[in-house]
Amino acid sequence: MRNIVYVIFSFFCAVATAQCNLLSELQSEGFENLLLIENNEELELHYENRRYRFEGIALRRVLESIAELDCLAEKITLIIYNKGLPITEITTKKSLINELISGSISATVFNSQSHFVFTTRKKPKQKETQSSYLKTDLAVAARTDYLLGNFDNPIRWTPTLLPSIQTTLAKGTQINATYGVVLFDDLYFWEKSRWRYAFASHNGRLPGTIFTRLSAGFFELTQFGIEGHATKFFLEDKFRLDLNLSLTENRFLDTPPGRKAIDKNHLSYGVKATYRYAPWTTDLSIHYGRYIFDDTGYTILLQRQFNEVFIGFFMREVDRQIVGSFGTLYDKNYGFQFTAPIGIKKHLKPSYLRVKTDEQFFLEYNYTGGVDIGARIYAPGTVIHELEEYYPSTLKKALENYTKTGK
Amino acid sequence: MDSLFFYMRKYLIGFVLGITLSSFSQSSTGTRGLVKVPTARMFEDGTLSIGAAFIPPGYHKRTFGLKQGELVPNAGLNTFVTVNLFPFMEVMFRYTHEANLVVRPYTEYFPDRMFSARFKVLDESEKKPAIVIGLQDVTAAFDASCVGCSNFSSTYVVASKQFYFKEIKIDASIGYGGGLGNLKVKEFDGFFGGVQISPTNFYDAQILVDYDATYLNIGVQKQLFNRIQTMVSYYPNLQKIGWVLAYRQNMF
Repeated sequence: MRNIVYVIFSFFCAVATAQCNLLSELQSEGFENLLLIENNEELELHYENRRYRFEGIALRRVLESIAELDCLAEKITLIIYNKGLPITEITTKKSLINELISGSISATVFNSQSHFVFTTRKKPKQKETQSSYLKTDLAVAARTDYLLGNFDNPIRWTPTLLPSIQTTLAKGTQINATYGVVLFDDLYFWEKSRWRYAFASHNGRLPGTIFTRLSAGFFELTQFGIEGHATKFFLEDKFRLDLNLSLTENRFLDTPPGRKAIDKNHLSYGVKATYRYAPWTTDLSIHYGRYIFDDTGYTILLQRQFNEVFIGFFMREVDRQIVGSFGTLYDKNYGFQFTAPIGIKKHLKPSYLRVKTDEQFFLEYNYTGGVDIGARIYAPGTVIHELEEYYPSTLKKALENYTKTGK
Repeated sequence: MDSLFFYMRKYLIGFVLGITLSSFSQSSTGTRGLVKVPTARMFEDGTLSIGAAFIPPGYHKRTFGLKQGELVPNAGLNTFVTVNLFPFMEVMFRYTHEANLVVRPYTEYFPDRMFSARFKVLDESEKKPAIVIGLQDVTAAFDASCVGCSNFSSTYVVASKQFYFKEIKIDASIGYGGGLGNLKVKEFDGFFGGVQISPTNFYDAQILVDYDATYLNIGVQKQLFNRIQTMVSYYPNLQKIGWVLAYRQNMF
């Protein structure tokens, strides 16, 4: 009889533990930097996603896990991290999450009754579960440089495979390295397989929703040096101000035969103001500055974000004329750019060495010509570079779309 | 026996229409439209369409050299990417290729690039038609390409209204095209229009008839797997066969 009571007691204990073990559930799903703080009627969940390609999908998955458990507090706050930094905060109610996941209410209703903001919270001192630090991602991307408009050869191109590694060393500190394997070179006639990036960045967040980045190393477009970037938001993600500054030399990390440095102590800078129309997740921005190939001017960009897809149209004018097709000269450069997701939506669980697909493919198409103007330092994989995924308006829109389409 | 033949014929016609027609027409120019002419319809916000349209020999317009602007014996292929960037705006980027030509200095041939933007200025209501203003291949007017490079330029306004005739759904469109500034009109010069006919029994079946200000064209179309649009058309003046094949997806 005593054994039967023990078995029944053990069974109910196991069920109760399973019901309330949100951390284990999210840990087994591959979320990182997990922290669960429960005070009276309030639950605070900190998490970082590197399992899902898009933050909107990860948020949906977290909400589903919360909805499955009946023993959680009514008031719930989610704090979403990137590189160990708290970025976005969502305050809502358990009952709303249940209704959203069960389909009783729409995401629009959920969004209107929840509070999405860039967080001002600091990372708590408690030790997180499943740290994201000192884990390395190995990804392979593909890219092609090309040029149109020559009778000798209609499309000159240089396709390149880009194996890369990325590691977060500690809170906000990361290293990135990308090697370019040139499949063939029909465009430059000197390009060889060589390092494309090898830099370290420290990402930070200052009071007042200011994100910062300081990087040093070797960047794309043969820039060797340091760069700094600061981003400030006003009225949540409605207005954004970016400042960038870099001091670089134009040289290679592993110089191809016959190539050499062109300039030294090269200073480039820029200021960019962006307005976001949240209902259409659309940004209108103007950037003014001195670009990395000594041209000074401005770029106006109108860009729409469709979850992970970005399509933008730009107009650029600098202090030099632009050579277009068949040698025609233009004052302004028009074109479009798009960023599209590639690879799989759900990666393997993060580990000390994880193989994954690259996340995005970026292409800029210069309709008028002038591929060598308006170039800026590009630091992929850093917090500021990935911020759009964490915008409150992006997360809201993603929830609305997933409710609508079930994707 | 007559009755059996009647039903067999009816279902055969229904089957043919069912596999060749659909309710999402995309014209051979790459924008939303009928066989060739644009309409005031737009796809859902965030729709991306990538496709190609085969222009039959004798109807393709040369885009370079001495015979620029003239119809040539070679066939053409329009390859396009069309995006509904906003609920009220559609943009399209197209390469126009001429078959049987290679890009070499001695041919002086290079595929033509063009950009189009269409803006919806009025939504359809019970009494009012939908109205769209289109800017096709007009980048030269904004100093983004050379005037001589514009081979398909047209600025137009088009209205579309849907109504029923007995049990047949008809979507009628009429428009007027002209130049823009010093850029002469090269397509849809004057009045154009057409109808899209969807028999009620085949709600996803459509017959397209249009007049592109020069020729009369007719076509049938079908959407496959909710992603792929196919259209077979007879033009110009019902003389030759052309086709459109496009893949469509909403980016949200």
